[in-house]
Amino acid sequence: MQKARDPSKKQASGIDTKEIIRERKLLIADLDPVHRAYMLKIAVEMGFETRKIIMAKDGAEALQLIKSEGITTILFDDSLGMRTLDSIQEELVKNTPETVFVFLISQNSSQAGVGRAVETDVDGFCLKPFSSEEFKSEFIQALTEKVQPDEFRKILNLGKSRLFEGDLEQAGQLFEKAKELGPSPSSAHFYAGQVKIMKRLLEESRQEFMQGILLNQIHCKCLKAMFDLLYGQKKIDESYEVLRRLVGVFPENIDRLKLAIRLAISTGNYFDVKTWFEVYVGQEEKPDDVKKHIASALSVFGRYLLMTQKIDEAMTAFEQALSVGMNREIYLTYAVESLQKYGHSEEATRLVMSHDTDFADEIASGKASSAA
Amino acid sequence: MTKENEKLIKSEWMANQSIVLADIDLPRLEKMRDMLSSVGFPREQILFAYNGDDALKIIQESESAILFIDDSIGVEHFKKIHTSMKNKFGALGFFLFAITEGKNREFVKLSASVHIDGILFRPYRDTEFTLRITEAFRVKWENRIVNPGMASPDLLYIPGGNDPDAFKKAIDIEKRLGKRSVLTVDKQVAMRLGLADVDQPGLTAGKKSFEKVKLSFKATSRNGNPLEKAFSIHPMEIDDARATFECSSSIWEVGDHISIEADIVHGNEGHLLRIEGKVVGIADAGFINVEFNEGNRTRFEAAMQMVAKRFKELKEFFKYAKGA
Repeated sequence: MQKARDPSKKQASGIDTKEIIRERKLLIADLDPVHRAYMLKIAVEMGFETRKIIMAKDGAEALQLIKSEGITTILFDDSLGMRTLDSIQEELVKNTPETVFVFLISQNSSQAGVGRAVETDVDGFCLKPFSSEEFKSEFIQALTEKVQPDEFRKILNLGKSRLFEGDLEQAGQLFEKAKELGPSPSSAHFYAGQVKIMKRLLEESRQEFMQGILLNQIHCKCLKAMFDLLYGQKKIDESYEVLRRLVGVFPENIDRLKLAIRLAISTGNYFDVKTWFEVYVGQEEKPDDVKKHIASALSVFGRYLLMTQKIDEAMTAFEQALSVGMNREIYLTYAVESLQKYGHSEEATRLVMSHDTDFADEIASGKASSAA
Repeated sequence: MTKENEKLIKSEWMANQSIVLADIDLPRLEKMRDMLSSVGFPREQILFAYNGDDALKIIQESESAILFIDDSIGVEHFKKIHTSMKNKFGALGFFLFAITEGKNREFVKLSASVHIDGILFRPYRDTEFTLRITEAFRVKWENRIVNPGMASPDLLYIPGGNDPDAFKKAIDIEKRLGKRSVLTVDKQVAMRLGLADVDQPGLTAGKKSFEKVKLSFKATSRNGNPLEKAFSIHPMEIDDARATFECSSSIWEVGDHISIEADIVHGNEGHLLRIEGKVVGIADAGFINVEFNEGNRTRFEAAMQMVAKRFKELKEFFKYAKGA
């Protein structure tokens, strides 16, 4: 929401921004008709020709238009869902990368939401609500960078093309050159690492990813590549250390969360389970298997807390496991058995009474008859 | 195959069930599948496990309560699988049949001692096999008691979670690292990976990473007269000096004074305040343009600064984490 410069003026590079976009067809993909109309107005103000602007109200229509009209410039609103964006990007892969430009508008102003956007291949990003001048400035800046990239990006793009063509030698040389150009060339290290993986030079690829991470501690691609490499080599402690960074910074990914839960237990990082529970709670979708993962991990964590004499924290962990709502009888039985094992029978009874009234009645009648 | 047998395995029993056949010998598995499907077990619900680990995994990760295990799978896996099924469904809640040539005495002994639903000795005749199976289902299905009994969570997705060695490891890690945030590293491991603690402004982990900036606005009065009912107006664009709101009401005219109640929240910081503005434009599509040029704007500016700061942090996070 900063004040922005006039985007219609020429950029420092000498490119007339309106000249760049005048020839392009634009697809505005947005669920909300009012917002679509509003973005149409802004697009026209940026210099897109009205007759070349097409609007889509849902994912299916957007995909159809991309296929039939050959549109490669997309203004995508996340009201259509990030999965739709993934599908659109899969479709766009068929085009020359330099011609594709996707700009994401998102209402999800959380770190988790922005982290999800990082993992897509969008070229630009803006949070709602924005000031229109700021939006135009960011859109045009991102488009300009795409159409006329700086030297670092040029070399990187060329290297990527060579890599995808299978020319590993040429690609490797280009990435080496790119490393010298960028102020923080983690991406160059990432692609250099990919080349080395393809050459089966696993230790050297690890070194590349490590260099990328040293330059940028939250570089998503390097972190993911490092995790995949280590996990593939069954280096569980190391891979978990990378995974906890990934899930910590980019928490909106169910599969990664499940793995983090399992590895937290198998590597002995039990206290991470507390954070993974918070991450679980934050997920929009909670499939049954992630519920079982987190409830199981919380139960094991609770037992560990009992063993290390932290009864209050243990009770919290058991309560959280039961709050997940899957296989409650199993987790309740496990919690009760654990509490009894470590000499906390009163807490066990209290837990049963608050979660299983039938069993509580049995306990109560048992007590009554023994008192008689 | 008799018609009587066919009737015994009722289709409603098999709804949502899968049947696991565990044997290292593929031709035997295929033969058994043919026999079972001939008496009503749905062919597409019959799963093959070629070793003990596969069988255990399928049992743990699916709702399979029916298993046929051949002695080629081994005694140790038989024990684990039986324990797993017992924990999951209770002693009377599952069907387990052992198939053996009779040479593995330990396998036979175990089959007899754990009270499973039947031991079948190879070689057997097809009719003998199907009769034994269908009879067991006829007697037990309606009377079975699915009771999870005492199960441990590690049987549900956390393999090795209850292992005493895992607890020992956890104690060592707790002693060495305490209760660390997931954004800090275990230096002993991290030094080999290039990882260091994260110090990016505004980056958090866990619950806080899901906190959104929330902006809600309600029009409360027009030209000093309170509206009969305050209504929500949705900001299409906004900064501390002006805004465009989506507004379905047609009461507004250019030059009107508008009072707005704003609720602007991020995490623990919240601003509930009133702002005064002037309608400076009305668009056909249901938008009103408002300038905030009246009244005391200090609190509103502070709230918008909070929003701008957070948005800036998030944009920098996006650019930095993505890289070039």
